[in-house]
Amino acid sequence: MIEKLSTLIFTTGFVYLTPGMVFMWLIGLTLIFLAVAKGYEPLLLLPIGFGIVLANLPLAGLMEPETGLLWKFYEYGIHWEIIPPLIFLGLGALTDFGPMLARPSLIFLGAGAQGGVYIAFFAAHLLLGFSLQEAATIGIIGGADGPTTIFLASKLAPHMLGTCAVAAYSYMALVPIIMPPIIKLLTTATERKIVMPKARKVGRLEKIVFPLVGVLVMILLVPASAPLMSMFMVGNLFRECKVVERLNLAAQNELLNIVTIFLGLPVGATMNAQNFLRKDVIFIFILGLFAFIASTATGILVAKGMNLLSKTKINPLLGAAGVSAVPMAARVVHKMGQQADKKNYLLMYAMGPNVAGVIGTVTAAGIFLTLLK
Amino acid sequence: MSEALGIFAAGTAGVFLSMMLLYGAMQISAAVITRWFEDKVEK
Amino acid sequence: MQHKMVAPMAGKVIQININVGDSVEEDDEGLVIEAMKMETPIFVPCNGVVGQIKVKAGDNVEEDDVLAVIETE
Repeated sequence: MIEKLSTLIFTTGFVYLTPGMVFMWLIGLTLIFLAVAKGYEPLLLLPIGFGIVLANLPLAGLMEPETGLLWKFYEYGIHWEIIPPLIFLGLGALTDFGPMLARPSLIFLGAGAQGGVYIAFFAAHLLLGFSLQEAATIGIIGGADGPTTIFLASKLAPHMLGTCAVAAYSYMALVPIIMPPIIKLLTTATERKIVMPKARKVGRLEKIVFPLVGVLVMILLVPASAPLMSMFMVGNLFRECKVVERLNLAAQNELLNIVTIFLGLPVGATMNAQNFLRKDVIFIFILGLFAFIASTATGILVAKGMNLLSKTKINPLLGAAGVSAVPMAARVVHKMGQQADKKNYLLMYAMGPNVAGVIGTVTAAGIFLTLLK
Repeated sequence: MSEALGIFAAGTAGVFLSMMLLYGAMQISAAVITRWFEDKVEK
Repeated sequence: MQHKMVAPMAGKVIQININVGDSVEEDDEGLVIEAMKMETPIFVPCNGVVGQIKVKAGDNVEEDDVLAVIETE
């Protein structure tokens, strides 16, 4: 009996605990705290936080290759490219492209805001010595799109997946703090007062044609973006055609919620003490923040550039909405517009570049994949 | 250095060009839809 | 003269701060609309007296829907 008892004692995790693991628990618990108490992107940061704790429990074997439960979620959900595209299916069903279709030039703001992705990529590789693949994964954080970051990381730099995902979701939650100072720096109060011309009505047929045209054009141009782009567009088609409401609602609700659960847990579980407690991680967080800042700036600058070339002026605030944290960035832009002029309601206009930015980020990821795989 | 620069340039250009083509495709579809509807109304 | 107070964007009316017969001034906060999980105040467009209120809390409105009518002399 003593033998059995001592087996039980020596197979407890306590014996194998390291300080690193305990530190990771604190990180996981901090994310959970931020999610619960501060409302920071709780849908992702809560499961991620929990996943971190689980991955740092010795002997639990949840991330043990071939047998671990969370390992299987990761392998079959993320590595096999299933979960991130399904998230995009849900997102496409949630997305209304109307504001973008009403004023198609807003697409360029969505493109412009991807500039920060490439600037951060450049800085990561040249200044901090990350490999091209790692730098690309860090850069795409500036696209402010969680599933795209996770998708790209799983293909180019899986060891950084957890860190980049946490950075991406954290900064997305912090958009209301990160963006205003940059916006104020790069725009004048007069520019922020610009009122947008009335949006034209977008017909149902146009909204049905868009995902069809979009999927053809974007996948022919950047085939590597296909897993994400295709699901995004089919989800949008479900939404707009109005004849598959059951599929539409399932995509927006049940499906999206279910795959979100299966996304967060394994992402967190990749962050074990070995992967995370390296000095690289600080740099990743710094570069990620830099990417967000740079993307806000390039979006605004493209908007200002467009104003130089055209008679109808766009409020440059909309450039910042090209950072595809939907709808957070649009909300921030709307608030700042109201601060400049109480009667300026930019929200729906800002949704245009906001959703265009999603397409932009997926395209940028596809281009990275094409050039770096 | 030059490889990163190349990717930087190709990437930024790539995103812009793709979006430009999407923009073009959207304008064309919008024009076609308007004409198609107009034809319908005429009939 | 009647001046229409219209919805500048689509959303749900969650609060109405004015009543029929109230004397209002331009830029008073008349209603609050919620869109994208965000509350946006809608301001009275001119000085006058509230003639009619066309919506109630909980209504969904589209852009350009008339929310209220303000009577001005």
